[in-house]
Amino acid sequence: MRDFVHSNLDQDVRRRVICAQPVSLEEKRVWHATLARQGWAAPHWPVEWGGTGWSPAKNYLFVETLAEEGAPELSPFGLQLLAPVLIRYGTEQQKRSYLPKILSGEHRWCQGFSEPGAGSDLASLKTRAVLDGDQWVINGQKMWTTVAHAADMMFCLVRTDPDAPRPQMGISMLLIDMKNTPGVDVRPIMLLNGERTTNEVYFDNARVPAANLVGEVNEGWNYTRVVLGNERLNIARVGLCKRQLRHLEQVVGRSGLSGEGRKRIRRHIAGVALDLMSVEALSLRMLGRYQLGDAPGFEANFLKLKGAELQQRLTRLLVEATGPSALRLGADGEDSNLLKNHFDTRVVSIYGGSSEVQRNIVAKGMLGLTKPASTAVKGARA
Amino acid sequence: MIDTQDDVRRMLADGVDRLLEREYGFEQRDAMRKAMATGQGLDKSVLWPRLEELGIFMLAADKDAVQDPASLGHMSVVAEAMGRGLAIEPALPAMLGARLAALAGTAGVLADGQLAVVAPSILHGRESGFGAEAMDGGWRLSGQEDVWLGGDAAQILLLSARDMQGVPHLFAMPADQPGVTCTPYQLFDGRGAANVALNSVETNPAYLVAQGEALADAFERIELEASLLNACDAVGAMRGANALTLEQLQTRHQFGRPIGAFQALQHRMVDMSLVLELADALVAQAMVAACNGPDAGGWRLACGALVRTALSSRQIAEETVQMHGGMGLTEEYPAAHYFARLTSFELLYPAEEWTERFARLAPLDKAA
Ligand SMILES: Cc1cc2nc3c(=O)[nH]c(=O)nc-3n(C[C@H](O)[C@H](O)[C@H](O)COP(=O)(O)OP(=O)(O)OC[C@H]3O[C@@H](n4cnc5c(N)ncnc54)[C@H](O)[C@@H]3O)c2cc1C
Repeated sequence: MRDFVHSNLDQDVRRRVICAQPVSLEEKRVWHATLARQGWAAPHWPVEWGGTGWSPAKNYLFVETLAEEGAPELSPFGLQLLAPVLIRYGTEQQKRSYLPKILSGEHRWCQGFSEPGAGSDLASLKTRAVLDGDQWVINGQKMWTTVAHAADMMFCLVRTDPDAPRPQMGISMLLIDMKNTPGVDVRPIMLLNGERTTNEVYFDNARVPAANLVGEVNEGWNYTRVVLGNERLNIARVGLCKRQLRHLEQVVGRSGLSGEGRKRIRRHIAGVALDLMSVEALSLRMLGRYQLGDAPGFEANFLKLKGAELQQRLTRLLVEATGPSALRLGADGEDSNLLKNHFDTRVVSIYGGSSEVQRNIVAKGMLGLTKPASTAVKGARA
Repeated sequence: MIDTQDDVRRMLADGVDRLLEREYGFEQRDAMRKAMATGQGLDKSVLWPRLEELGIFMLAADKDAVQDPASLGHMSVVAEAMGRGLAIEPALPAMLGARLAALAGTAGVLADGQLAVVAPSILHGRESGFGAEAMDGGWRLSGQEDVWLGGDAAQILLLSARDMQGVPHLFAMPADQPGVTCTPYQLFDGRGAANVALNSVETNPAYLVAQGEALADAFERIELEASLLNACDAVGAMRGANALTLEQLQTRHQFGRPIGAFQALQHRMVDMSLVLELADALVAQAMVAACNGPDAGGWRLACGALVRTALSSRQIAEETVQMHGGMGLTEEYPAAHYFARLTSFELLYPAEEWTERFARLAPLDKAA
């Protein structure tokens, strides 16, 4: 695996990944195609759809090793989040038309879950879909839809039964062609990093074929749980952390820091390295249980929490180790853009279930601490 | 006499505060930041003339200001307003430039309204990156220092260089002098900065502002004042961030109620208010002490104020983004901008470094 990365990944892309400098969507697509040719774009899928049949342990190691060696991350939306749902609940037709293009990287997917009023409380989503003959008619607004502007398809949560006894029960999942559907309007949300990574998506009587419903109507919430559970084995991103630690050592080694400054940073780096040990141990324990048939449980919530914290500490240490030049924007070169890069990692404790939501889930689900008012966790992201 | 001068300066400072608070909205400021991001440099046609008109240079360096203990307080009002307003104009660098020229006893070297920026080594009490060689009728200067805050807009560079004998000299070098390479860029928080390199620049003797060990006093004082004024900028930014976050907790609804109804968030908001008040109180006290110049007691308080402000800044910056959720990362909303401003501050004035510095100071009873 290591050799494969070294001999097949563009050296400059790899260098930029390691130095936390930007990598373009196109460069990621090239790497996706390289992995696809090797049969490694989606090793965790069933063999009949192009997976490898590897054990969960081998899949785990594959993901961590690639990250550790400086491979860019492939977009998770199609490969990690949607595909397992389609494989389990999709129609034959859906599998045949979508899975091969997800695997090859030909189709880019985006995830239309969040809305202006539905963030942590995802189940309160309002985007409405009504069946009209053999088409769903969609009205409403999605928000924070990453790469919607460059996506071919969206998997989208819509409300199909506004009168369901619980909000979770009236939600369905639809697949939407982003390139050829009138009534779909994608508008950029600019983040302070100056990049257009995410969007608002408006639906104004957008029509999609009835055949684009995933699974059963009003069962979308259950599939959502599958989606949100799909990245859990690698959720702490141990390989990425290891790579960042290694890079940090080098930066400190050649930096112009004073002796005292260097000592101080080294102590912080050691602190992260030690924390990472326990995180890796817990990841491996979760993996071990999974191999024996247990679904990832609250370990995954712990690992999401702690993994986000480690990400943020590591990108910040890179800024501290580099000195004031890290505050600089623009210029190529390895010192610039590093505060911006740290800022980008603030999102890790916000999306995919914020750190607060993770704590709520553990408090209620694992520890049995009931809340004074009972709604706070039920609607939350898994 | 001092009293009336003092009144005038107080009115100026209040004018800047009002200008930023009432007339200069976030959208307008952010348009400035974006314009700079496209490589146009700082647009000095909008806020800058108003700041000049109000007299930010005079606040720092009219002929009584240096003697008047209250003047530092007036400057702090401006710094705090700039931080709270997230303004990217180099008001603080400009005040510090005028101030250093005045502290060195040579306010006259700067023409009216000329924007002079002080080398980071002087502001941070580090060894200079430049060296000076005497030559016939002048000096030849070489060296480099990076990340001059406000350096992108500088007309004059105030830099120190030791001669071959190790004697420090303060030069006021025009930024467009042949041989001076001033590379401007934008920082993540939107403010402008520059790297400055001098390649055997031959200067005429008029650029020499002052020399000799007497400069050490001026340098120490400007370092103290610059540190505390940057802390004031941060206090302003923390105030802005806390107000914004409180509003978010009151207005953003999830799970059928304002998110401020969740106790997990309430307690953190309380802590944000607490650490702001601690920083504000200590910075104000350190400011008063600094008016007497940089004596041992003044430095102790300054160390305390800087450590406290750095820690508070980090906490408030991170919590502001986190409690805003996705909105905390967007460009069109101030939360992320406060994060950037506050994080810049605490990276430039690291809490650990100032803690170590504090530990190195002689115990107060032995000093004097
Ligand atoms: C860069 C970016 C990319 C994204 N990409 C996608 C995407 O592709 N597809 C998609 O569907 N979504 C995406 N998201 C949305 C993301 O999942 C949401 O931002 C996230 O769910 C949080 O929702 P919110 O932003 O509305 O914050 P809010 O839910 O409003 O939360 C604000 C704050 O309140 C806290 N809070 C909320 N409820 C509670 C509670 N009960 N107890 C304690 N604290 C609470 C939160 O933790 C947070 O700190 C993206 C977001 C960002 C920023």
